[in-house]
Amino acid sequence: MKVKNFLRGKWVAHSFIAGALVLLLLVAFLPGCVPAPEEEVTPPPEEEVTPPPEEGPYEKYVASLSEGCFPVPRECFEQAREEGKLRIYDWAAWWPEELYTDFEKEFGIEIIRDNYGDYDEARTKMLLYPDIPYDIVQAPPRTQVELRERGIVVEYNHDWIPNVNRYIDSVWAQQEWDPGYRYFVPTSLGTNAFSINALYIDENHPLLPSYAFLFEATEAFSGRLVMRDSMYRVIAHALKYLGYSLNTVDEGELMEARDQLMKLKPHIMEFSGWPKREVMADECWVMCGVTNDFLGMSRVHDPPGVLKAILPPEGCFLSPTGNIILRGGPNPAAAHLWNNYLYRPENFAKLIELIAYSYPHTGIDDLLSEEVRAWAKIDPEYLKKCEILKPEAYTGKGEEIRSEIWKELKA
Amino acid sequence: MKSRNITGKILPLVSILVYLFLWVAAIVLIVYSFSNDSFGIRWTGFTLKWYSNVFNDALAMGALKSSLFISSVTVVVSTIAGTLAAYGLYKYEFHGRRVLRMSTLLPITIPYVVTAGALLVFFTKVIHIPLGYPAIIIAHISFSTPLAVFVVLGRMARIDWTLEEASTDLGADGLTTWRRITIPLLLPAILSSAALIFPWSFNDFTITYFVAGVGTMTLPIYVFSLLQYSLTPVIINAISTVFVAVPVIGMLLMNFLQKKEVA
Repeated sequence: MKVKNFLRGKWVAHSFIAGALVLLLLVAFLPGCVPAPEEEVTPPPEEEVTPPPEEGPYEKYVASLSEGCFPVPRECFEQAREEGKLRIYDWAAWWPEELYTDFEKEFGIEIIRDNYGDYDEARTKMLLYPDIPYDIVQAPPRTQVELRERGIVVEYNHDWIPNVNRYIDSVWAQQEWDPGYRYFVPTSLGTNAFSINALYIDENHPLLPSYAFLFEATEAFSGRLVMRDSMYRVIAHALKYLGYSLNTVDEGELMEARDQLMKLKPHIMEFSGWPKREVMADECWVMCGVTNDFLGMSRVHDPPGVLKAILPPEGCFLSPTGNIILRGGPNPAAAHLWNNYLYRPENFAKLIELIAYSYPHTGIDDLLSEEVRAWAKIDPEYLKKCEILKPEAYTGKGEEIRSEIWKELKA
Repeated sequence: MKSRNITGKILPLVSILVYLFLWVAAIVLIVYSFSNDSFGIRWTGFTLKWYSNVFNDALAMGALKSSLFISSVTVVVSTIAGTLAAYGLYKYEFHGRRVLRMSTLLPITIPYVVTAGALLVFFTKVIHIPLGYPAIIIAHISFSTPLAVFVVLGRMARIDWTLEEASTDLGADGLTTWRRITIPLLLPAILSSAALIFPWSFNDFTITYFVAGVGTMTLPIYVFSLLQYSLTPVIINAISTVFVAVPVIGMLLMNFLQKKEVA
């Protein structure tokens, strides 16, 4: 009777048993599908013909370098190969993938990459977990300063980064956030201003290229302005327009900036973390953001060439990015090797050719296409009028007033 | 009679409009994921190349595998734990039972970023669990199990429990009754909760982001990072189609199972 009942209609029980079996199989097999970040990288097989003693991997590496490239010391090279891995925390789809794959091929070191979606979130995570085991993190100076003050960032061994020593621009090497590039190897510099779509905005508008266009010619783009969803950058536009430092902590100056932004508010389409799509769809005609990004966008825009980056004569907000090494990273030699590899002129040129950001490398001017060089290279005189965010702006009173303005603006 | 006719015509129309409102964004996204346009913002011809790009993108595929693994483990553990918890909460009297039942969904109502920060500190400072798969899975179980408890409790309130008594009266022991009566009665709810938990876990960004370790990037984290710099963001449409497909498949599966139960 029991058997009969069982066969007759207990489909639910059957389903449950079948489901449990499927789940168990999933549990049993899925681990095999998971990427194995900790898997050991098999070093390239040794040549069957025993090379002469002086022809070891280090000698081959040194011999393979093109003119103008400097090798890391043997100690760094061998330690990096022993480490076998490099853990990088950076943006997705920004830098050329071949930089990573070529490094893996050349050194037999596996790169494990994780991507963040925002500097501030990554910073929060690193502050909450100071021993986070990343070797290299792409970060802005502000993050570097904060992490360094908490002992989370490790100092570079300059003997292990000879290409950086050789090619770093002297101005970049002595930045106030890290004199002597002890903790921060700069990689690029973004200029934050705005762009226009020349299909809809007259390139010869009398107020261009000044910030006055943004704050006084609102009828030209009303409802078609997109601003980066970034408190410091948005407020910096108004401060620059008014002729003030973007790092000011003067309440009166900040309130003037607030008034200008509140007047601009009705004309803003949105604050967006990712305004590219609106630009490409011609939904927005003026976009505040990193002007360097517009080269790539203008190439794929239909029709091409109508997106124009505007660098206002008042100067702009600079957003440098660099590599820092974290104390929790288990592969410090590989991290140094990576920086030295990156600073080879041909590699750095590959990077800048794709991202079109201003660069701290003195050896790549001739390697860049004319278009990218014209886009990325900024007149040093102009740079003097630009500023990066300083601690007084993002801490204490400076941060408090800006937060209040930001809340009001976004309300 | 006339007003009933009008109502009969208007209500379906309203329902269609509501569903359109709910789904139109997802439909547009799915359609544009097949567009040739690299920004996925206009229709310039049919292509499957963005899907091909996704499948050839080692980082995307690694992230997808991580997401599938994490969600699968979460579903299994959360549904089992949630079912047991719901059974205990429903069937047994103990101090604090009412409070526990009322607070079932409390973990879900706490802002995710608060939970995420708290879990990160808890894992790294208190119990020293390394960030990565263990931390992500524990975190996912912690916010998914309440869903299973909630769904199974709802089902238990509608079950005729005299069937269990009848089983016992007819001589079945506790285990047999649980296996032959209780589990089959609860199975639709268990499967429903699994169908709910899988996309819930698969799509999570905030909590996963905070507790993810080296080499354990999930698909939502990868997509979020792509938003900033990718010059072919249409692959985000292709990946997002996966996010839409996962709950839809879950719902269809649930519907199928419920139909079988009715039959």
